Amino acid sequence: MPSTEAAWTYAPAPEGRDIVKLRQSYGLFIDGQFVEPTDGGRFVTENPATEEPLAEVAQATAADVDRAIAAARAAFPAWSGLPDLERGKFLFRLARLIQERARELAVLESLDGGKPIRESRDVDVPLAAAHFFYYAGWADKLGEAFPGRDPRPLGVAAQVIPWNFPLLMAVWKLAPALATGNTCVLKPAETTPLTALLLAELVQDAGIPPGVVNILTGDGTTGAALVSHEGVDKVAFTGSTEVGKRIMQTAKTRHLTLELGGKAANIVFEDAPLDQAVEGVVNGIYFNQGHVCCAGSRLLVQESVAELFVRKLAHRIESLIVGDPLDKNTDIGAINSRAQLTKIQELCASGEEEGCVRHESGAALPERGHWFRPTFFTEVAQTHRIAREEIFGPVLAVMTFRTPEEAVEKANNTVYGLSAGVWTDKGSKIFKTLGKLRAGVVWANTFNKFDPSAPFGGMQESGFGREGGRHGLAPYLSLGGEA
Amino acid sequence: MRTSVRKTWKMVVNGEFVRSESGRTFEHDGQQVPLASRKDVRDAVRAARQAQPGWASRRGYNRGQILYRLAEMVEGRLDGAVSDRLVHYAGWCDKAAQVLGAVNPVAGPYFSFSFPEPVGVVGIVAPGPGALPLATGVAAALAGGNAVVAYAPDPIVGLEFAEASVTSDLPPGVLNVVTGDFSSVASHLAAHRDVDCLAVPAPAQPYAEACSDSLKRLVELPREGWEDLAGIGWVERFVEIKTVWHPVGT
Repeated sequence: MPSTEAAWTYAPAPEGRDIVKLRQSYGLFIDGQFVEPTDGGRFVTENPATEEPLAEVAQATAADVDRAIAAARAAFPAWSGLPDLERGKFLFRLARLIQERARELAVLESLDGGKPIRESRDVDVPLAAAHFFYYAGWADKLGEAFPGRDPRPLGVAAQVIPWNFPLLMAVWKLAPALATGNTCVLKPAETTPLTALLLAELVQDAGIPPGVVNILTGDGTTGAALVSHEGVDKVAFTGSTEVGKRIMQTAKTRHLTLELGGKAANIVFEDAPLDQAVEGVVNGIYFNQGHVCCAGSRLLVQESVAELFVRKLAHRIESLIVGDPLDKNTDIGAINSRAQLTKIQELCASGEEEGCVRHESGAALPERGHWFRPTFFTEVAQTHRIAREEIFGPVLAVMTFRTPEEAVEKANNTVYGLSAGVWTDKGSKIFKTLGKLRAGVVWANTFNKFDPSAPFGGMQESGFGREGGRHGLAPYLSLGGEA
Repeated sequence: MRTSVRKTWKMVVNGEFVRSESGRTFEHDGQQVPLASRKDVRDAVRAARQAQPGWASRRGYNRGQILYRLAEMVEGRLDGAVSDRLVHYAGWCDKAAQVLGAVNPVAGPYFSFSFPEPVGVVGIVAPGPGALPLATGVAAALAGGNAVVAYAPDPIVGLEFAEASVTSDLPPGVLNVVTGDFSSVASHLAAHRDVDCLAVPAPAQPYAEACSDSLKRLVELPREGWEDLAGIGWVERFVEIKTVWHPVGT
């Protein structure tokens, strides 16, 4: 085994947090204003890297959900009736405001969610701005996006998002909905509400009319009340498959977008550029602490190169820096919550009990906060829980295959179908393989690539509907005269 | 009583403000405006040719950001319809391929797709009045990844537009704006073999013979109605479609 000692050490390079001006307490954003929740309920959002409370946010009740939906309903005629380009120009403003306050948003995202500042700064926030920019441009082009199909907005959209990319998921929901002329009620995740609340301020600054965007903080009960409400015309949810199934039962509208769990396979053929593939596999599973629905959480490596590949992988994870999310050197930040850490630990314990071999880096962990070392398991069978269940943490299950057919069969042996990766130098092999994979997104010789212009979404129990790209407009439109 | 400081009107070639190399001007609304010579047009085409590959190599998203920046700089200097038109085409930069491109379901075991590429250097001899026809043609051509030599029929607003472009993030040479005599600029551009596409006000037929020499694409611009003449159609006229085939293993 290679030495576990780092070749050199890094001096701390923490990003300053002064740029973030936190309020002690936040209200709900309804009808263009921050208001008190009806029963005055509050809960605390903490910094997962220190377990320190950051701020109090409001717990929206069913009555608050009613209020927000009524505000969105009231705002709908004027918003959808704006000339298309005028509506788009509001969204261009929002894109610019996100760019201008990028640093503040990035620091706040890392504080509240635990992700490394390098990722919030270089991925989440720029992609959020780009997403608004992209969909702003569609607002006056819907007729050209869907020629002859008379595109019309649906009405009020209820949108519930997860804690892994808080700002980016908010924008993925809002941008296409607003561009197509819908009004929105958005609920950020319980553990990561702060960037959505800052986004609410930017909505005010952009001069977007009151009621067009409403943001309700709260726990699962708020989300359940929102998505099952009679008054919504569209439900969009990103989160677990379990909750997604419940939403499918309780939603009153059939206009649903569900972006759910995943257990993506990264297939590495023997003719792949192995060092690049190692980087891709590492990025695929350890990016954002593995809190990624499309994470490449299963590695399928061809038997002839498996031993070498695992050796390279073990070596590579030693140089991943785990720690302070605000440090610009950090590769792996804090696990988002105590509950999530417990779940990861429990699944890893099951892996050991079922006979898998655990490999983890020797990274030193901070004393306070929620942390987990980059980890992978070998000797994994397809029946093992860590090969079947979504761990949503920095944990990779390594398996091998002999033939391309076996690789495809194993990759497809899952209830999910969100993403997959293929690594080989042969173009024809890439196309042959990707044609057989049951996954909504396939990355070839790369992984975890996201762009506003590229549709994203799953097959099977990873949900349905697409976000991003021209296809991402359709779920927010009535097309061809359908109700 | 303050004596105003008058502006010397200059053309924009390769990101610089230039008088005509000939030293000639013509009078417009009591002001002297450069009268472009054949050599001025040639210089502008050379600058466009040099700048075009770099502009085309930028991703659509980046070109969109820059066109939007141009809209920001034009806002307040020209009619609002002009900045709105630029915003419209800023949005097409990263979407044109999604409307004009396609995956081709060919019968054999091949992955085949088609997508737009810029035609190259585009000459835009816009009709007047105002800057809206000019801005529409220029923005659509730029959105498609082309470099442009534009003739401003209404020289004062056209040069205002050109000035705004110099203060945007548009790289030098991507947009060159000349003023002068309509038919001589149009003829010089039509005869220049390094211009890949020429847009002229209807009727375009008089330029067909000169353009046929190098099979230059000839685009006819309507004389009026520009308030409602946005859309992907103008980008489509300034692009070529490239089709790629790649085997799929069987």
